Amino acid sequence: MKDDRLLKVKGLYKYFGKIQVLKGVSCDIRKGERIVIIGASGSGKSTMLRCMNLLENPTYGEAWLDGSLLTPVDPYLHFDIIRTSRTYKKMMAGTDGSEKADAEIIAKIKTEDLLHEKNEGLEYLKAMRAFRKEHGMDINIARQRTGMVFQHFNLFNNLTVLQNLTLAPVELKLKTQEEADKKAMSLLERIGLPDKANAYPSTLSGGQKQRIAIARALAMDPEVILFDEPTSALDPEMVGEVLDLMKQLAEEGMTMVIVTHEMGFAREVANRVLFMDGGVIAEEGTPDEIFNHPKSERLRNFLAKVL
Amino acid sequence: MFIESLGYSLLIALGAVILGFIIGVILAVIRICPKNNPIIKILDKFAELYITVIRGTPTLVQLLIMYNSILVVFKSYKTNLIVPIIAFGINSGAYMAEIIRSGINSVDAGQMEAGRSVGLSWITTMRKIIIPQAIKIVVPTIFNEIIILVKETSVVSYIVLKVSAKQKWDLLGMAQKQGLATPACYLTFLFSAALIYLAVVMLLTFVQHLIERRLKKNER
Repeated sequence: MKDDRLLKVKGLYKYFGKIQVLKGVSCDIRKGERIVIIGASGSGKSTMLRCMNLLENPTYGEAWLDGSLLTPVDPYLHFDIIRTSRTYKKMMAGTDGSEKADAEIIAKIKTEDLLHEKNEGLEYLKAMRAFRKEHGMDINIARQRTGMVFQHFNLFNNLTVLQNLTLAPVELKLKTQEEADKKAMSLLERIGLPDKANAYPSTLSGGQKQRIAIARALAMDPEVILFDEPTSALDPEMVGEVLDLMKQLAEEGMTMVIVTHEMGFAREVANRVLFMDGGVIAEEGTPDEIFNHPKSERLRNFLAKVL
Repeated sequence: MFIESLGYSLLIALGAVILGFIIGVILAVIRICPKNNPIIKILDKFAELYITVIRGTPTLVQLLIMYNSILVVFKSYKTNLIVPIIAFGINSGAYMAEIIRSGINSVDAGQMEAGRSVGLSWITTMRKIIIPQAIKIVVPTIFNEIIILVKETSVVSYIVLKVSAKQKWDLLGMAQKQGLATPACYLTFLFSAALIYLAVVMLLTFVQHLIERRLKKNER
């Protein structure tokens, strides 16, 4: 199942208690794509992003990285697995066994959430385990390949800037300390902060912190970087320096998924824009389609407010 | 004569602080751990029970139980300083656990997320990022506990201390022994002991401020 789809989320649902934040989100991200996710706060965009490296565990649905499954198997997404369950077999026994009945029963099981792991029998458990074994991937490995940049930077406060960049590569034995230091220094030079190598995060400005947070992600040589509102916590005069760095990455072909309120940036950098509203992807398209020719009323309303 | 006794008191306190700190960190991490497998759930219940029982019973009772049970197991021993060290260490561990847990809880949740997002495991992130920051936050409270412990070691005068088969006394024990030998000066000896404790605690407070200042400078 090798293809150029690097990240894939399928049928994501997320509940926080009784509040439903994601209501069935699916999306594919190809190598080299720059996806910008826009939407009002509370529309589920950050939650969706955080499901892509499992900082948030979706209630239902799956996240895939480069053909490997990160989340637990969601049986509702695999008809073959549903068909091994006792519930399905029981319901099927009462019908003529036609394809139509099969489709109806699967739809019913899915919509009414009828599968309960404990009662579905050995064949079902075996199928689940086999699928997990074939496709599953250790989440820590997946996260090494997926960079993340946070709204509040989240630099390691007890470490110097240089240590922030080298901790993970060295700790995970991907690089020796010397290699990691060298790479870190070249990254710091690139973002124009080599003189801050031995400073602690508390002495830096927000813009500097965020550029270093991006460098920390880059230090892992990630295949994709997720940005969770990277400029929302910055003073206005510092937004530019961070966006410039992100533009550079985009030009170099880095795969990026960006949740942001910077519409100008989205228009300039994205090759696909997703508009989220009420826990679903309400509209998606090129920046031109989204910003100049919005189809839905909801998107028009949103754009009228933010532009 | 007080010097040697003070030495025993401090030795017991030091041993207990080290033991208590190790127990405290381990218990705190167990209690804070995501409860996603049965072994951790059992360990968590154990930690909870440990903290409840140790905090719920008097230190002196714990010391006497420890002393007498070890007395039963090893009929005779030449040096028994280890008994109060273990007793106070176990006692202090329960308090340290709660102190360190509160410290871990007050580290921003974003720090754990950042650690996990670069592929570090939960335990590595704890070790390298969260616990160092938590320790910094709890230095004043930990020192509070150390100070209490130093003074609390005075209850060892309830048991017989032995070093190389000779009976020895801790600070308070020595003051009482001397006082009983010369009843006219009993109060004087008690006051002397009190003053020495006070001096030690003041020294500890000084060290605490030194450490706090050093840790703060590390961030500049």
